[in-house]
Amino acid sequence: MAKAALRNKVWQLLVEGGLGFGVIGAIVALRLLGALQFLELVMLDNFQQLRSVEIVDSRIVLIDIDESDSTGKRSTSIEYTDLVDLIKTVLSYNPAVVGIDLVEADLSGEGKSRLLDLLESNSNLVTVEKIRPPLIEPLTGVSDAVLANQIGFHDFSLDNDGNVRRMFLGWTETLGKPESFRKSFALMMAEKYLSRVHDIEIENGIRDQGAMRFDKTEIPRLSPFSGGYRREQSIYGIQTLINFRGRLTSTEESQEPFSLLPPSKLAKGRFDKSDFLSEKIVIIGSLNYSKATQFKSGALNNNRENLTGLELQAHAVSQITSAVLDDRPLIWIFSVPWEYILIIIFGLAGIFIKRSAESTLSRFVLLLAVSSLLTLVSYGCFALGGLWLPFVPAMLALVINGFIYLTIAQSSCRWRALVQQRDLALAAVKLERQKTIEHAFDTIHNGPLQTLANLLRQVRDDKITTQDIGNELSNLNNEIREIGESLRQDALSDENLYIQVGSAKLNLNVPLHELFYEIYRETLGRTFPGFQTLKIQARSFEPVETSHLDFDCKRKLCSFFEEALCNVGRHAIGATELTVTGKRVEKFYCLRVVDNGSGLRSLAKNKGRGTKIACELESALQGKFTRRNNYPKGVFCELKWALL
Amino acid sequence: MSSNLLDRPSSARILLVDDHPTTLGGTIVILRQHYQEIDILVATTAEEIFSSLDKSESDLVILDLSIPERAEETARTETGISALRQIMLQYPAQNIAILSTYTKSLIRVRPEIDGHQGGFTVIDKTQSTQKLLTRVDAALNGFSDTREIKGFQPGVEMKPEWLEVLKLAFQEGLQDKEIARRIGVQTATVRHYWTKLYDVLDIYPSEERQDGKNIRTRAEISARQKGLID
Repeated sequence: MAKAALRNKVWQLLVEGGLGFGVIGAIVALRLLGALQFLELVMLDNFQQLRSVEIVDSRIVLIDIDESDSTGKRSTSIEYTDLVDLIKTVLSYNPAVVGIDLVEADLSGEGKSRLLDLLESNSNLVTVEKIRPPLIEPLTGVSDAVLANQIGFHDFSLDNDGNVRRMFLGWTETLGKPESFRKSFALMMAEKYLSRVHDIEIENGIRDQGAMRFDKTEIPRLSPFSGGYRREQSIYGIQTLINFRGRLTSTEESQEPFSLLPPSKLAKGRFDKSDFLSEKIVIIGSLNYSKATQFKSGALNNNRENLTGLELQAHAVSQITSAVLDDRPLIWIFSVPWEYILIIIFGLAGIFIKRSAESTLSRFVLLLAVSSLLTLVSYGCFALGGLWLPFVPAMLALVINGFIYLTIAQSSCRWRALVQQRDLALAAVKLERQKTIEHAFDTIHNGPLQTLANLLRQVRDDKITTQDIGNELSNLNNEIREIGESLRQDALSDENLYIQVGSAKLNLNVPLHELFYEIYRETLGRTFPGFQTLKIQARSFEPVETSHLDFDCKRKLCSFFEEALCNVGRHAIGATELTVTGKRVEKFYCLRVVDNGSGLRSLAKNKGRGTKIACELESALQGKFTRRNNYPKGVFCELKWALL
Repeated sequence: MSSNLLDRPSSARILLVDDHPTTLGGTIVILRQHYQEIDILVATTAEEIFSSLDKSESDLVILDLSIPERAEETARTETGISALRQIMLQYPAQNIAILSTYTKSLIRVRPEIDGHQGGFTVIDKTQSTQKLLTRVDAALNGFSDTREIKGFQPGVEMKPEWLEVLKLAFQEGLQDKEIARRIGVQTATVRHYWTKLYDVLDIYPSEERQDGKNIRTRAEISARQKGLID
């Protein structure tokens, strides 16, 4: 039984969530097809831009070879001799590693052999090559040892939008030939620095055997399917995402994340010689935007969109050394199943928002809260731990489902309101029917039943001729027909506007005192024994304010009055005088029926229909009902109620 | 017919209300034959009644109950009844004669008619010309004749005040002035009660020959016969 109920509930959820599951499926499919890659990469850039400021990386010093010196002399290429002198000066300050991000085409003049000699004799001197088209050969004439250990490739592979987000660590140029493995310039610099200064050697990864590791820091390896990437052709070899170093603290003069040492200052020794270069990573290259290769990035937060190869290398080296030594986060990614689980969870959250709140507004607020939570968690994970979550697809699934189910909930709410209205209307109809039945009963009671009782009494008393019986029966016949007619009319009119009194059908819209008068006439016209002996019928009805009485109340007053008169007719045997008045007395309206007949037999309140109606009226009108013997004889019957 | 209890007015201004041209014409002919000097105003809608009454007083309003509110509208008894109510409210001493085929509908306004101080007679259109003229006469003289709308029940139906007047006059032998003092009303009101009492007691001065009968004495006899006083 419980199992069946559970199955039912699950099925119901499936049906209800069908649309939402469709949306989740569609988003997952879009992501698998790569349609969301662009958005996810842009979001990654935005997260990096938003990140808090960082201090300058003091381990790295950049030397811009193209700086115009004090003489104002500018050259299109760099003399070998100038470069060799510069390197020698730098080396004299005992740096950990010196990188020369220059290729043969950048250099000119004599003295290439001196540069080659420097390379041979200083293993901490590193230079570059480019190993992907267009290829750039390393310096010609270097030994194999230098080629293997001091030349790294400085290629970066770009994303479809032209932005640089990834760096190479290494690449096996020819598949199946491990000996063709080349290290990138940035990796080589970081490796030499860590080894020389901190005694940390490069090792294979533990979690991912193919990744690289320094001490406890494993550098996450990208695959063409990592994170937001989908079949990204440019991801091969060993690549990782660059966690660009953020803007400097506002106290720093420059907004650049790395120290810059102009060659002129270097030559003149105008800098803090004690430790500015000692045991540091020095990269020599060009920061001249008109000459050097430029890269585009949306992740920089120093109001720049472009950076030169030299700066890019600095970011790449810096992120590795900072990660190893400072625990600065590297960008990493959940395994693929976890990413999709996250997307599905937030998609489901969108569906469940409908069930978890009552009003549209609170659902909307909840949706806003959950999406803010997702944003905060995604940003927090990235900023604090470098974790790149599938924020874009999860957010899409949440918001789309949220809005779909918000709309559904709202329309079902409207539907519920309609159903409620309908129920109310049905209840009103039911009440109306109840009233009609009561009204029918009243009419029968005050009409044909009275006639019948009268007839019975006369027959029992043997006081009636066959002729009169015939007449009475014919009256009865008419009365019953009139009731039928009256009920039919009631059913036809929307409001129960009429009341049947004897043979008259009275409109309840008529002023109450006129109704009383007509009831009086109708009732007194009937052949009750109490009426037969009457000599005097004194009656007057003063107008009465009835704007606060509804039709039901008026109907009851009429029924009560009719019943009171009928009582005189039935019981006031031998009465000669009947006084019926409706009068304003101070703040009350008094409706009185006084006869001088035989009086009440017992003073106990009888439980007749008239008394019942009178009691109902007493409470409805805050009135007072009195029925007692009158002096010297007869009955005094009064209903009085407060006027407005 | 020439000499009854009433004076035949030599001249009168009568407002005749009827929307039916043929009936209207007939009534006018009858009235003109009967009265030497007569000024007949005609109204065919409820609206016209009041514009006419507002302009100048009429000695008598002869009203058909089935009239339209305005020209071009349908004639309804309801309209006539509410016009009658309005007349009685605005002109409490106006003499009124109802000329209608459906006099029963007046039962609804019976309490107002009882309180109306002017003459008030009811004429069924099917009645003879003779009866019509006597009742017009009665109304012009401020008398009441509502036989047509009396109930069928036994006993005499009246307002409690009238009964009081009857008892004070015939059981205690008081004059109108003293009766007025006793029940706290104007002497004129007591006289107005008397005209209503005559109607209740089936005394119709316009129909009875002036042969030395005292109307109060006739009333006392009738009241005793009907058992209203001991």
